[in-house]
Amino acid sequence: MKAIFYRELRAYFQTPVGYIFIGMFLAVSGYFFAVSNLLTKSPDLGQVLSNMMMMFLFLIPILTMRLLSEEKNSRTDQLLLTSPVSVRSIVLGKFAAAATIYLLTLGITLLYLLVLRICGAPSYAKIFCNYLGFVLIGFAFISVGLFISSLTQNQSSAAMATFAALLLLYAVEWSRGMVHSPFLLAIIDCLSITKWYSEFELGVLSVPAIIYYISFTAVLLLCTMHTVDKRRWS
Amino acid sequence: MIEVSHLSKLYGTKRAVDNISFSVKPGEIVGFLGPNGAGKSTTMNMLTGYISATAGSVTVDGYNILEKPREAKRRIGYLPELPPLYLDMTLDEYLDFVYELKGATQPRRKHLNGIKELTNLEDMGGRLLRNFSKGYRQRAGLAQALVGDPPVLILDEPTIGLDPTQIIEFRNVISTLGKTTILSTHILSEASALCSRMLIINRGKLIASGDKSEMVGANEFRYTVELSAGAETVRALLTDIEGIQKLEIEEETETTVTICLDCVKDVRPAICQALFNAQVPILTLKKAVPTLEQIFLQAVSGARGEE
Repeated sequence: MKAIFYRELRAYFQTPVGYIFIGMFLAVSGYFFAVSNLLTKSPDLGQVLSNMMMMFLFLIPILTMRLLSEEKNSRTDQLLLTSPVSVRSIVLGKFAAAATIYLLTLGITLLYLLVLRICGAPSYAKIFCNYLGFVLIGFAFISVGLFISSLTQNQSSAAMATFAALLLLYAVEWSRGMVHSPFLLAIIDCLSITKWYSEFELGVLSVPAIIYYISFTAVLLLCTMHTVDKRRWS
Repeated sequence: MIEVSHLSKLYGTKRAVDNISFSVKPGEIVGFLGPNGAGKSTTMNMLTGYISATAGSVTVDGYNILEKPREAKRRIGYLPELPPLYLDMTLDEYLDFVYELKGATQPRRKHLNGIKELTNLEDMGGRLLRNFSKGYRQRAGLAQALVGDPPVLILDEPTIGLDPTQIIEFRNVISTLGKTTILSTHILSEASALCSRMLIINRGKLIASGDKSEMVGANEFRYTVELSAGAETVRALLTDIEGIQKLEIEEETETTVTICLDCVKDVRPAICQALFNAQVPILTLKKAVPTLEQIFLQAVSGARGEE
């Protein structure tokens, strides 16, 4: 798993993908920070993060599209699957690499906090909740992208499908008002990935939300492992 | 070292590999021959655990590839049809990665340098794999298979894309390694140069297997003679020579005839003498080595006969 993790991490910086992700993320979040914090003199960093959620729909596919599709395309999956490593460590290694790039980028945005600290008095507890929620939702999105990347050989298809899937997960909440059946509502609760973030946004350390995101990510990672494994059995 | 029993692979209803069994002893080099699409790569992918078998089992050094994948895979170096290279890495980075991936325990620098030397890649370490030519990619693929010093090598069409000198170098490398090796090819000369034993596969079925001498030199005293004379003259001249079992006319033109002789001993001096006395010029006289096509056709017809 370590070998795969390091290789993947390096690949992010040997191809433009890592720079594109980090660069775009920081550029857009910097803009949001300037607009919603600096210009309006607001200490609420959560606003920036909530706005960034939309940006995720575009950025996460970039981060995850290559992960497994490219292995298949270049036939390097033959090396991985015939080496003495398990499918689990392959998938976890890839996930960890994408998650690391994500955390790294998020880490850089802590500079905004520094600016806020110099200029005013931000609420650390709330910002901690915001960030925790943001980390968790990011992991969930990455696991969706990783899963979709395991379904295809083609990076661009993976990117587009991930974008569509994330958009649906993002928008499923909008149908809530029109649905009355408790069964459908329960499904919407399961899928509505952004709804669970709202508590973190308010600064609530919500245990159900934490459990939701961790299980969501875990289920998708399991699906990914299953897909990789299943291809060998068909 | 390798035990394959009743291995089958179904793709939908198509039988890509059909009930193949064989075993390979330690240190043996076995050639896996067959036309394109015969099921060679599918079999190799099952041997290495890349895909699963529909039925049957593969054990490597006593470890079943599906039940104890880690132990079995640790013992195999695999070079697939297309070398599995990460084109965005340099050769050194790539070999380092494979070293980690396989959990090799040899002293790293020494081991990897030794492999690069063996595969003639010493000067290529810092270059991106993307810029490697086909021959070099193939070598990098072989280098990858050698990392961790596995006792078993499985090579799928390893000499494709190499030039003739590289092919000879490659054969030397394989034969000096002394590893248990299975290599697939559709070139007979390659198999006969390297392998002590051959398995012939067609449409997923193992249709023949045996030692090189059994397969290639079915009859050691078999000759092809091209003469400048008519078929009947030649037949008359040669019937009296002792040792000729069978005389076949292979090809006849207006002025020449090509015959094939099955003999029980070396009759070449006697033939020459007889033809010289009759003043029939010999244009060619050579040992008849069957081509893969002939062996293959023979094996196929043999397999049909058994059914």
